[in-house]
Amino acid sequence: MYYRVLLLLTILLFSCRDNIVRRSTADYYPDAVGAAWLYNSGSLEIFMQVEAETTWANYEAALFTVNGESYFRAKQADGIYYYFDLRVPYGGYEYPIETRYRKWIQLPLLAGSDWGDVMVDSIEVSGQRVRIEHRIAGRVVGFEDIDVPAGVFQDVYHVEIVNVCRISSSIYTRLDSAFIHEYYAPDIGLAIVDSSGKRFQLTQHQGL
Amino acid sequence: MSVVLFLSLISMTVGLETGIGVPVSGLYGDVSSVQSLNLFFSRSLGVCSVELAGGIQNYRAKYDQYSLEDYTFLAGLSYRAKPVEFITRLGPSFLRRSLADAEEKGWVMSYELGLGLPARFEKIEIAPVVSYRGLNDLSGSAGMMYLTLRLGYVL
Repeated sequence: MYYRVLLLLTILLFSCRDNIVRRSTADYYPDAVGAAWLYNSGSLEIFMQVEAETTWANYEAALFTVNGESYFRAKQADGIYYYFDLRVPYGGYEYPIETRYRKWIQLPLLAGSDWGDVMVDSIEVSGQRVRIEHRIAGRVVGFEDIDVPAGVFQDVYHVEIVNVCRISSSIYTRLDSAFIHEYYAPDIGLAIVDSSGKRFQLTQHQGL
Repeated sequence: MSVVLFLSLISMTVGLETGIGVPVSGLYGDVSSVQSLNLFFSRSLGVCSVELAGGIQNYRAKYDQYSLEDYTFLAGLSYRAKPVEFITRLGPSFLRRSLADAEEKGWVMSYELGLGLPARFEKIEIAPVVSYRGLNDLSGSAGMMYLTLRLGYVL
């Protein structure tokens, strides 16, 4: 009888080791008002804070600041969307060429999932056609344990994102591209961001 | 005399449980409801019964490309205090979540606490059951409330 009970307990204990319930239920994008994160790359710091819940461009969104600059982020059932406000400067005026939400990360996070889309549009600026091609693609590489100054976190999803934006006309071309590695910890949010050779690690967080 | 009495108290019931539930903790961000279908075997020992059950739980996700289901194997006891019956079960579940071609799967622990109202007609036993079912691993938990119809045949 004791062996059966012991066997059952052993099976149950081993059943709990996959942590799949935690990954299914944790909030990888906490956005409570007042929540703040401080990142350090060794020479540079990033301070991010959720300032308010608001409605922006017909979406319920979180208004947050990154080193004082404002961004809107909307959390939907299928993903995390950022509001892009890209403009073409000409003659002292800025012409909007992309003002919309774009999916940055697909939810729920799942190892091996990928997503991506491309937005192509054009506008007329002082008689010239200006074209935009903005591609955002991502992939969840997997989950792992990480050790950053703010602590050791388990079940952290590693996400790769490619963000390429080309704005061009007959006399003007601008190309911005970034290959970004982001690491999201359960109930903490972004723990590491690695972009353009700079690796920012979470050093402090509050209000989560 | 006592052996005959004992044998008459031991009966076995096999049957089917089908239910619908809602997440009350953990999964409500991604899941709106859950349907369950289980086969069960119950061996009565007087007021108590030993229960075995196995089946599938299919979760209805808020994002239609996301799929979540679990396969459960439970063992436990039920206690009958007329007119109600208390059911407790515990066991491993195999949880599978997928999104398009991506998939994660793993074992978790699950448990169930239920309260039934059984009625018996000849060899058929019917019971509506209200139950709470929990899924746990070392650092996460989720819970669902179920309304289940239990249909059994007494052997």
